[in-house]
Amino acid sequence: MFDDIPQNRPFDAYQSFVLDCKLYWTRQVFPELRKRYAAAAGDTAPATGADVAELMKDDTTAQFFGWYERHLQRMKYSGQRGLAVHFSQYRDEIAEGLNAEVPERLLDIDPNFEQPVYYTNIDIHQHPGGVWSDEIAGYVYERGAQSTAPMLKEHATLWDRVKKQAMDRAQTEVKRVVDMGCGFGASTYPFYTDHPEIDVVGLELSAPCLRLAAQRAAESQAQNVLFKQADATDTGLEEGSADIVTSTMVLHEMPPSHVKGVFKESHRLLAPGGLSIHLDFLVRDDPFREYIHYGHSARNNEPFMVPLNQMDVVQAHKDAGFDDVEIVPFEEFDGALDPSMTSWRFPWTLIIARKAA
Amino acid sequence: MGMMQHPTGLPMKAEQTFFKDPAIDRLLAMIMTMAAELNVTRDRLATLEMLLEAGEPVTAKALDEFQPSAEQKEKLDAQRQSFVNELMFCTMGIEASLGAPEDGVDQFNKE
Repeated sequence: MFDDIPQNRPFDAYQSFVLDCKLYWTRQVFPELRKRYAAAAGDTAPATGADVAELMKDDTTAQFFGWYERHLQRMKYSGQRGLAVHFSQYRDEIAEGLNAEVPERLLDIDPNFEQPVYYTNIDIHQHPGGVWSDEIAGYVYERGAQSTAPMLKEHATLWDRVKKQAMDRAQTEVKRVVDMGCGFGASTYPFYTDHPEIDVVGLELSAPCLRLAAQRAAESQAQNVLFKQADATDTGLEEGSADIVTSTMVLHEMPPSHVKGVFKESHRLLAPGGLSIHLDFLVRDDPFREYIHYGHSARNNEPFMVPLNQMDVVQAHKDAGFDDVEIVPFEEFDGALDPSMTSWRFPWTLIIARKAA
Repeated sequence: MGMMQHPTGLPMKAEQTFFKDPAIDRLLAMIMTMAAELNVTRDRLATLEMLLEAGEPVTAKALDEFQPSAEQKEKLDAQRQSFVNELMFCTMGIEASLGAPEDGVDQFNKE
């Protein structure tokens, strides 16, 4: 698939340059900023991210840090050889690949689907036009995701780790998994390929992402997955029909009302004893990390990261009917949680809940 | 260049800036745009030399579709990373040599 998209060395050189700058930012600029923060704070103990922001607002390295974070992402997508710009040249070829026929069992697009306004009115990740409006957006997003968190050598490793956590923690026989906000299907892939005996449903708002997910599943000759256009707060799936409900980097893309709706829908979908497991970002008890995270939220057009972080997710799960909730740090690559790791990283966190048996 | 019109019809938001003078934000964007393009040109030149050394025909298509060997890739990656390191280091505000003490040099004077 997509074999007719030609290799383009200048595009590769440009994207590699942007990625190398991001790596430098991750490994060199971030630790330097932390060092400068420690020096500026001295014996004082800023209590919140806002306190740190106030302390660092005139720091030149902090200003460069913010600029690089926003603009390297802009360059990646919208620069002179950005992903969206480059692949637009091959729109027809990509669209043809995405719209190629797939077995009916793989894809369920709702022609009357109405996107939530919070989703269409913000271009998350600085993806121009969002990941929903352009028919090739799923393809562009798939390529962009490969450098979202540059310390991840292979992004697939992250999805495999989430799947392993889910399967290891399941206490009932897993017959059906629902992956909410599955994007182009990267998080769904390990479930349906490693476990052909499990019925897997990937839910997603974006039709362009779903089309790519279905093409990848067809490529794998998957028999056990359906990619369905649906809102995770109102999936239309049968009550008590799932043994695992999961999402990866989805909760921070929606307002608190919808996050609570996702928890309620997760509880409704799960069979007794079923597992809810969401991978997202939470910062706890570290003002500097909070400053970095809230800054990222603004700089990367992901404004709902802040209210998610401020939400009492344990109570929200209890309100949704769960009574067994865990918040667990997530190691996205070996050594990520080691105190000696000084590079920038997302505050990856698993939010795990179980429905009473 | 970015989008001129969002698919929702909504107007674009105000410019997000990080420096006291927005001119610095814009000038840095120009520098990084040029640096990225310079890197593309350096890569083009290096791959052109690689084609010449191999005695292969040098055409625009051959350069666009150039696939380096493992050894060539290592060399191209190293050149690019070295350039990026130099470029990004400039913004760290770290001195490259030891300057005079903050409290002056009288302490060294034996008169």
